[in-house]
Formats: sequence, structure tokens, C-alpha cells
Amino acid sequence: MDRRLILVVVFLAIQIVLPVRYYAAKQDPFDERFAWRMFSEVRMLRCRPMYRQSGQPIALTARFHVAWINLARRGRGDVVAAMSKRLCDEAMGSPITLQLRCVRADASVVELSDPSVDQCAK
Amino acid sequence: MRQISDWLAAVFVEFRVERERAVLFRFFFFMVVAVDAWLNIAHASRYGAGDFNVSHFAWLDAALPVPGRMAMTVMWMVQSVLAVRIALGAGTRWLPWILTTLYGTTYFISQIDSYQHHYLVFLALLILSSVRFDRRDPNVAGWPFRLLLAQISIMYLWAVVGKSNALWWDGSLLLQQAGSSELLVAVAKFFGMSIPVLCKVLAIGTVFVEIALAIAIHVRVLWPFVCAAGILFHAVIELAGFKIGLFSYFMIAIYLLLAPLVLSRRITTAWVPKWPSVSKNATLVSLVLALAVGAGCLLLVPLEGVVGVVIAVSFVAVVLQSEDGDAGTQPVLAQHASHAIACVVLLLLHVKTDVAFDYYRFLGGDSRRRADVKTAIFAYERTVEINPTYASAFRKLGDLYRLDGQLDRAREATRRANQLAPIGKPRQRGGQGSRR
Repeated sequence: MDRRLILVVVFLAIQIVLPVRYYAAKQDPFDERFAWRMFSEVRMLRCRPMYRQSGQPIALTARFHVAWINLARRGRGDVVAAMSKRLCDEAMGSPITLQLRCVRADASVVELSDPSVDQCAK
Repeated sequence: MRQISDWLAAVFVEFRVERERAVLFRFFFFMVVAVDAWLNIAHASRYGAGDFNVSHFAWLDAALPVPGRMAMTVMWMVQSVLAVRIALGAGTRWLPWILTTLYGTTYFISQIDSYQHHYLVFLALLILSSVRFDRRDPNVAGWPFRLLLAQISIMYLWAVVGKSNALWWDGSLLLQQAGSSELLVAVAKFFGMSIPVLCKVLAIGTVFVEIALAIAIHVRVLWPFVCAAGILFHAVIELAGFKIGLFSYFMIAIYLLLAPLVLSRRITTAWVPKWPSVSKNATLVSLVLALAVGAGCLLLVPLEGVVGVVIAVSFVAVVLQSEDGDAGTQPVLAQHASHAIACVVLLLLHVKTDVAFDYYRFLGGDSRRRADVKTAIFAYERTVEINPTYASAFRKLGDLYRLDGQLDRAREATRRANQLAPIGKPRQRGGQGSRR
């Protein structure tokens, strides 16, 4: 087969299959990257990440750029996980908890994190 | 298997695009890439803040350092210069590969940029790097263009799949995201319908338009209609006020590939200059002149890392003075001129936009919030250099100087702030671009 055709087939296969991962694997239903989902209900998700260290609220704007906080507000799982890891690394053994309450486009509420779980123990 | 291979060959390998269409598309698409790269710079301060980053792929986090704002600024400025050069048809053999690598780096290195249209542009650049614009055939071997159109179809069809839910079909999502748009209000009023009903009609219509475009884009005889429909569709999306960056402009540029041939010929015949061949001495003079003009323009842009940009693009200009041999050699004069023009365009972008002002303003705000006083002072000092009438920056400088123990400077900054905008009166905003 012509080398160009091989490239075309590989490219098209990746582009057709990659979005399937969002619908089939659904590791993070709020991570729409590479799935060509636009103006979706997931985009309208509004979360409120509230971290606490030993019960005291953490001012996120002092620790992270607001761009990352905005991604956490959209429920982006691996960003939240990285933020939790960073806070744990800086906490020196103190427990860090996270309440991540989100409101969907249909006004239903979903809790994406258990606020009783120590993020650093995961 | 052989039948599939033959079919694929007929669809892709034998696909041809008239040179005029390819040139028109190339100009507009890469000019939008240049502008988009420039506009990204305003938000460069997000990168590396607090040494925190999450890239699009976990292996990238391990492989690359946390990107800093200066590195991102340099990469975007270089992208902008290279994109203008490609738009002008200079360096089309190797520059697209360099541009694609830089673009992919700046996109995938951080989830701060999760715009889907940037992902689409990366894929488009990757595909278009295989186009041999340097060859002078009247029809450009078009398998990359066919692949680009196939990618657009895939995007539309998956977008339709993503809209397969009740909230889209009843117009609720569109109402939430664009219900207050002036355009929608005006259209609803014109047709005498309520905005929720209009949103429902538009939501359903969008699905059918996307399906229709995904299919019709491959039917050559329909290209003039698809071109008009696609441009109109994305122009309406842009006018509806969705916050989607330059996505609509990229799509409009792509639809220019399908523009009527007579239009493409008329435009490109009028625009494309005929460059003469010149002597070796004149070549050296033109190179030196181009490098001097380029460096002069770039050094007037008050952004961090601009010296690095001058070095990078000058290096490219010197190394890529001519295309590969055989039929594709482009007059050296065109290469030099395009370098100079690209740098002039970058300077014009600086003059006409608030990017440099916003870069420092956002850097100052973020540094302040993270109690990085030194960086915040640096950022606000640059802000007032660009706009000496921005009272808010002087006020913040006063506070920051005070925190840093620079009391005389604090007094002077506060005095200046009160002079420009006494407490109780409306505050002034904006950089030099907004004064126009």
C-alpha cells in the first residue's frame, strides 16, 4: 500500500476511535478533550472546589493560578487530582479534604468528591 | 483489501486542488494562525505560575519541564512570525513542520489551553505540512486537503453525537450559553418568536447543518454552496457571541478552500507578486536588510523573551533562504521580504491590540494574589510603561512598593494614581489598543 495511504488510514482511525474512549471508557465524564463535544451539558457544569487542611479552609487563589481553579470548577478530574497532590505535598502530613460539589446544566447536584476522605491517604 | 486500497487511492491520492484555491486558503488560514498565536501571549502568565502544571498527557509531565511564561511567549511569537511567512508562500517546504512542532508543544504541554479548536488547528497543521506548495504544478497534489476535509467531517459528526441529549434538542443548552446574545434577541424579535423557541429551532437546525456539511464537503460540484453555507454558519456562531476564541475564523479560512475557482483566481492573480532573480551581492544586501528590519520591529515589542525571538526567527531566515532544488526554488528575494513583512506584521499586531498590556496586567494580578511582590512590581511597572494613564496599576504599585519597603516610590505611585483617577471617580482601563 502507498505510504501516503497508510498515513491517511492511521490518521483517520485515530480520529474516529479517540472520541469513542469518551463514550465507552468514560474514565472522567467531565473531561471532554479530544471528543469533539462542543457546547455540551458538561461544559455547563459548575463546581465549587473547597479544600480544607486539618479542617481549615485553604485559599486556593494563593496557591494556584485562577486558570487551574477554573478547570477544577469544571470538574476536570486530573487537574483536581494534581491540585490535591500539590496541597498534600505542602501539607507535611496534615489531612487535606476536598468537597467538590457540582451543579449540572439541568440544575441537578452531584458530589464529585467525598469530603470525609483524606486526599493525602489515597 | 485491494479494492479498499484502490478506493482510498482514488479518494485521496488522486485528489487535486487547483493552485489558486490552495494559495487563497493558505494565506487566510496561516494568517489566522499568526493572529491566534499572538493573542495567546496575553495569557502567558498562567504558565508556570507556582511551578504547577498538568499537561494533556501524563507522560508529557514526566518528559518536559513546567513551561514558564517566557518560554511560552517566545514560542508563540516565533509561531506568529513563521505563520505569516507561510501565509505569504515563503518557506512552505520546512517551516510548516517547525510551526506544527511548536504549536503542538504549546498546546499539549498544558491543560490551561484546552480549546478544542487549537487541537483542530494542530491536526490541520500536521496535515498541511505535507502539502508541496513549493512545487509549481497548476494543481496541487491534494491528499492532505482531502484528509483535512475528512477531519472536518469527523469533527462535525462527533459534534452531532455530543449533542444527542434532551437538553440540546429542547434548546436549553443553547439558551443558557447564548440566550442573551444581541443577535439572537434581534432575530427572535424579527420573527416574532420567544428566545427559548428560537434556541430550540437553532439547536435542531445546527445538528442538520453539521450533518449536511460533513457530507457535502466531499462533493466537489457542491463546493460553491458548501463554501457559502459553511462560512455563513460559522459567521453566525461568531456573531452569537460564544466564547470560542478564533474558532469561527479558522473554519471560515478552511471553507475558503472550497471557494469558487473564478474568485480564487481573481484574488490570487491580483495579490501574488512576481519576484525577480537577483545577483549574489544583491542577495546579501537584501538578507541583511531583512534581518535588520525584522530585528528592529521585534525589538520594539515590549515583551519578555523578545531577544530570543529575534535570534530564532533570524536563524530561520538565514538557514531557509531557498526552497529545495528542482522545480520548486523560490526567489531568494521573496524569502527575505517575507521575513521582514512577518516581523512588521507582528509589530502591527502589537500596536493594534492590548496583548502586551494584558500580558503584564495579568502577570501583575496573579503575582499579587500569590504574594509574589517582586514579580508583581515588575509586571505593573511594565504595565504603566505601556499605558502611563492606567491609574489602577499605579494604585497597585503604591500598595506593592509599600509592602516591599520602598516608601518613597509608594508615595509617588499613589500620588500618580490619585492624579489620574481620584478616589470616587470612575476608573480608567485599557492599554494602547483600546485607546483607538
